[in-house]
Amino acid sequence: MTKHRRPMKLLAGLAALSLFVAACGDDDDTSSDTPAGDTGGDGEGATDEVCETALDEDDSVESLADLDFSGLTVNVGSKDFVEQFVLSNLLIVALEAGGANVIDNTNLGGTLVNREALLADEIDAYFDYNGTGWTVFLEQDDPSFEREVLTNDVCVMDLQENDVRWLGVSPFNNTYGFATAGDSPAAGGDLQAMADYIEENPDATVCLETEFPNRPDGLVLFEEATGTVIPDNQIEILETGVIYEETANGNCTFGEIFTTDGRIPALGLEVVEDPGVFILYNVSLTIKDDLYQQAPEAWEAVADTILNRLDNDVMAELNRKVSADGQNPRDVATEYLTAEGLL
Amino acid sequence: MTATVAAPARRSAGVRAVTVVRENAELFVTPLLVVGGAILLRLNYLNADRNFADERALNWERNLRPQLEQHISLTLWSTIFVILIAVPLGIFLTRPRFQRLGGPVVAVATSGQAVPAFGLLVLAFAWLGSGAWTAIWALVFFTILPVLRNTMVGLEQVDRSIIEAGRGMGLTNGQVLRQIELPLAVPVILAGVRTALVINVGMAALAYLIGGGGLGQTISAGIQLSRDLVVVTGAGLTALVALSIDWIAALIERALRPRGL
Repeated sequence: MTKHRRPMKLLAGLAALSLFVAACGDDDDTSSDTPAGDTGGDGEGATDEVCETALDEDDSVESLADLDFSGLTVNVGSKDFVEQFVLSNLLIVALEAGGANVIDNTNLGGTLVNREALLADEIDAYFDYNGTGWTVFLEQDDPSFEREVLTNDVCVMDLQENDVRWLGVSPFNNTYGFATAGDSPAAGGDLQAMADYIEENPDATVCLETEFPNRPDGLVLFEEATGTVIPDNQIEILETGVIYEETANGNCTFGEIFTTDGRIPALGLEVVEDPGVFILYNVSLTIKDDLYQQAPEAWEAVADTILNRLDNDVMAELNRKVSADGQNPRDVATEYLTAEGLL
Repeated sequence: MTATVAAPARRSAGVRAVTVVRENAELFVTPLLVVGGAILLRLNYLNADRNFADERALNWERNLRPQLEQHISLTLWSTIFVILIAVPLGIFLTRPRFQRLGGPVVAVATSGQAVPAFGLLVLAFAWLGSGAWTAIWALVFFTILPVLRNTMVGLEQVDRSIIEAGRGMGLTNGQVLRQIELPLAVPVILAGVRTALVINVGMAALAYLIGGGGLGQTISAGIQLSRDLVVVTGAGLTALVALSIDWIAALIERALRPRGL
């Protein structure tokens, strides 16, 4: 607890200070879009000027052929799970439609592998999540619960510290959550209703993976929001992949899930409504600033075009096609972009 | 253990003394190792730079104590069932009338140990669902071999002439088994049980995969969170449990060993 509180005060102080600085500097600040070249300490105040791509208007194009990436060679990486395969293939298809020469490094490795590769210029672009950027890469506390604001915060800081830009932000939020079987009597409530259900039904079980009770962005947020500590005898710790099946079978009344997992539609699970308890994991395209500067409009357009239409249902459905139907992510990406009229 | 039986090949007094010293040393060293290991783990914990996940994963009341208890109970229950199944089965398979069944049964038991532990747990899960009892049955199947084999070997190595002598004294088959064969086979059988116990401690670290609990939860959480402190503490505690249980088994083995062997 104490670990949480202190940085929050510090942050609040910083925010107040930066607001003050921003207010003072507002009048004579007319030109926007100055890249983060100056790393003069208090520059954080001028947030939207530096990194407006997450908050600005929709830069989507009608057809991916309108993008101009000609002459660019882009090495695309991705993390090692299905959603990332789909996302990186969407990007690859779009970049190729825009005339770029693409090197496919889908399934490069875990989060840190991709991040390190991006920082070392071994790959040029991959998709990452705003919650990860804020808590893991930038090691900050108290993330914003508004997706554009959080992505913007991450982008501003990452650009200053590491020359990395975060482009676009998906409506879908692949965060932790709970689900029940579709026909469960516990289905259809929010997290508070879930907490009440657990208290009223001592045989109700909650299935979690091993690290979830211990993560700072895990079970503790549920406990704080609902005031309920789930009794030990109602918790069952299971291997991640097993939880979805066991929830669908009714062996777990509630199962911990990722909110865009393809097994949610495939097994007909009902996600417990989250009024904003678990921190956000919306996806953005991350690229180094020097590559961005070579075709800024095209990069903003490709990120918005791909990401703006991906809500939780669409993303879960695309994931399902790969994870449950066994389709090739490349085919799923091409098919989807064609159906959307973008190809 | 009423019938006094001539011990085979008495060892010389000198060799016996050396053996006694060595065995006593073994009994003292293990507790020292366990206590020392526990202190080291504790110091390592206190000196580490701990974050939220470490504090929470290594919380004694919330995680470590219940997991330790689960781990020990998984180990003990599975070993009890192994003894209840394997020892009578071993006796049965060494009776002259059923001896020819021995080969096939040992082959099945061997297959239990040949299947990777992880696969066995998953198979048991597919069949019996999640939970501690599923894990216990998987452990039983995995460790039946050492106890069964040692029971059979222990009974078969009893000198035929001693059995003949017993028969000559008018003992029935049951009396020969109880008063001659089993007492003489006890050290070998107990060695098998000790092996089973130690294997079970290690296997129980995988039980978390199918909802069986145990210290594997802490080890896995540490790996997922990339926190070395959590991994080291979980794995270290598992090792301490293995050492302690092996030590207790050694004490029992000494207590049950017939005099004069």
